[in-house]
Amino acid sequence: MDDKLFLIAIGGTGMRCLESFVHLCAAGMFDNRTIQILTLDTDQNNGNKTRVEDLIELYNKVKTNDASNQGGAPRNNTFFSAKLNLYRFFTDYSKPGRMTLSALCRTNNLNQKDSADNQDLTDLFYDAETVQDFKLDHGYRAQTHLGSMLMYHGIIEAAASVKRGQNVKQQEKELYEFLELLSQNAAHARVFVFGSVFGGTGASSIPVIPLAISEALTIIKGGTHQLNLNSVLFGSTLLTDYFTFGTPTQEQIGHDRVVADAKNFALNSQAALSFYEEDPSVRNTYKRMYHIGWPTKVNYSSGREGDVITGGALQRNACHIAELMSACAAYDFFTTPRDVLENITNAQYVFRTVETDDHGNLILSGKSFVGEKDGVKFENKLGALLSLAHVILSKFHGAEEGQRGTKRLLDYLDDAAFQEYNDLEDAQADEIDNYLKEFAYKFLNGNVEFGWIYQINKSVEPGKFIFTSEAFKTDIQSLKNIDPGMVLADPRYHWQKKGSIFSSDADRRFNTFITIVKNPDTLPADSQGVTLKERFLAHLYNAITDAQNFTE
Amino acid sequence: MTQVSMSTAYIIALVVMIVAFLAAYIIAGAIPFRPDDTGTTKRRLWFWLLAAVTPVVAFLINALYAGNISVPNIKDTYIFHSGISCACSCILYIVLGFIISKSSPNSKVGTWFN
Repeated sequence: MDDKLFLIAIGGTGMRCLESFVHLCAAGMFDNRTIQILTLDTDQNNGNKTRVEDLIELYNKVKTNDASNQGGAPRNNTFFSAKLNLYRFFTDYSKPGRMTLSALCRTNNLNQKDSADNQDLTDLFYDAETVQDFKLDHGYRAQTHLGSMLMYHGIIEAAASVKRGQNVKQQEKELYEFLELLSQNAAHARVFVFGSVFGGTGASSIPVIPLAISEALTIIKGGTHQLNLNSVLFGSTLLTDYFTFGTPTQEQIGHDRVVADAKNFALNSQAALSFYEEDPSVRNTYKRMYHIGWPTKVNYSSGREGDVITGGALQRNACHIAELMSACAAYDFFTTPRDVLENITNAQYVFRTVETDDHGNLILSGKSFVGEKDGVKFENKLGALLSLAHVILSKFHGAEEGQRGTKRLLDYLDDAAFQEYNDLEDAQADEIDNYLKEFAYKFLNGNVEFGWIYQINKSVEPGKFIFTSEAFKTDIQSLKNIDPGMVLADPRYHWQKKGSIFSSDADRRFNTFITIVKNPDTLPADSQGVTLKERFLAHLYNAITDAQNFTE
Repeated sequence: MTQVSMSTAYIIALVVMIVAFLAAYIIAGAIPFRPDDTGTTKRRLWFWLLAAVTPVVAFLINALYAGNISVPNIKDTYIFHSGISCACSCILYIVLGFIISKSSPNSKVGTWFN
């Protein structure tokens, strides 16, 4: 039996790794799987968190045919093949009495001496003027010694609230549902944790998550229940610093008390890695830790003025290749045979090196992300989704404001005497458009707003990211004339040119694509889709992978 | 005196019909699917254009052939039969096109009648 898969994304960086993971699911890398996803943050309004939760909601809309099959079902050999269930938990530090550590720790039932002792103990670990009094609602701001304690406390507090059963908040209910599922499937569950080790929330939480989850379940289910941390397999990213931002001014430090300083990230990473190497509870709990770093750092303050963004809705950073690497780490963890992971007694630290050219620029292919065995599959599936995006957004104008690419494709096929999917509703077609815009690009007010895969490609420049330069044209006019059949670097996977030699190569490849779409052999099997929407997506998947000469 | 067979008129009309039909079939395949144009209208246009051209060309060829007939009443009979053969060739062209179009709805010729 396949193991049950659980994913926990922690903090802003964890959310962005999750974003990459969702796009891998959209490309069809997790056939037949249901993945339970928990987003865990202190910053409920964090821009990266909101973005990925909206993306998962959009993914689920794409998979949903009607009210009777919300989120769809796991399928095989198609786009959006995995089923994703999202649970959201955040520690609430927005209310008075909970905004700072000193407020949280305040107790009213201590006498003067005990109160003083309590304060002395707190002062020993946490600076009284800064760490104890900064607002926690934007996260732990690289104060991991504080964050670990508070995140553990937050999860236990939520478990106690669920156990009491009164005034249970929505995020506590969702945490409970996630933990309950984990508990029910503990004998064959895998949990992968996304987070950075140099920042705040992720770095704070990775070490304590397994124990916090176990303790929470003990509280919820009664004192005798223990989550078997030997049968639940844990894995995690150890994502070291790959970005930087401007130094906070003294004025900002004056009113915010604590602001994460990117100059400390390298030191934080070093300290964290030493900790993970030595700490026995981490080594005994986690099976694999994926060490991911990057040789260059992107500056998220570039072009921005004003205070350093500490969190909130404004923290929406561009996507980065290191996050895709992290998502592929989850892929590796989820697809490694169970017995291999079970036989690991002390945490295994893994990493991967990638090829560079003579100038030191990165040359990334599929195997750079998922290894030799699945490298071709990775390239073709991600390439197929990119080709689909170009077909809908470019060939059928879906990227343009007010235009509906998928609907135009359906009308086009109808005109070409292919009416198999005429009953697909406009709203369903729009959902596909909306997802592809997030994945690739859209035109807004005469400019191009680049989506995930373009941002990933940009973060690799001047290196090479799997695909041809044709796949990543950036100005509007070139995008309108892009050739979806030429995205993969290997010419074996270019779409064939069929039709009149007087037509352009791009038109001849497009001709090939539509001819394949109309071929009855391209109709999907039941394992690929049952509802009309699933069958439409599977049909397009079959057509594109056929045109690419790719068979799994 | 050279013997004249009326069946020649029908054979000529049939050959013209087959050539026109093949032309329509090849042209339909050659017209590509373009993002801004499925080519359906063009394929249909060519189909019907060739349907109209078939009897005309068949009749002209038969008329040329009839020019070599010296006996007036045999010539008249031949022209009469060429008229019938041209009409039949046109009808046969359309019927054949309908059958082929309906039996291969997903091919390019499927758009002739769908």
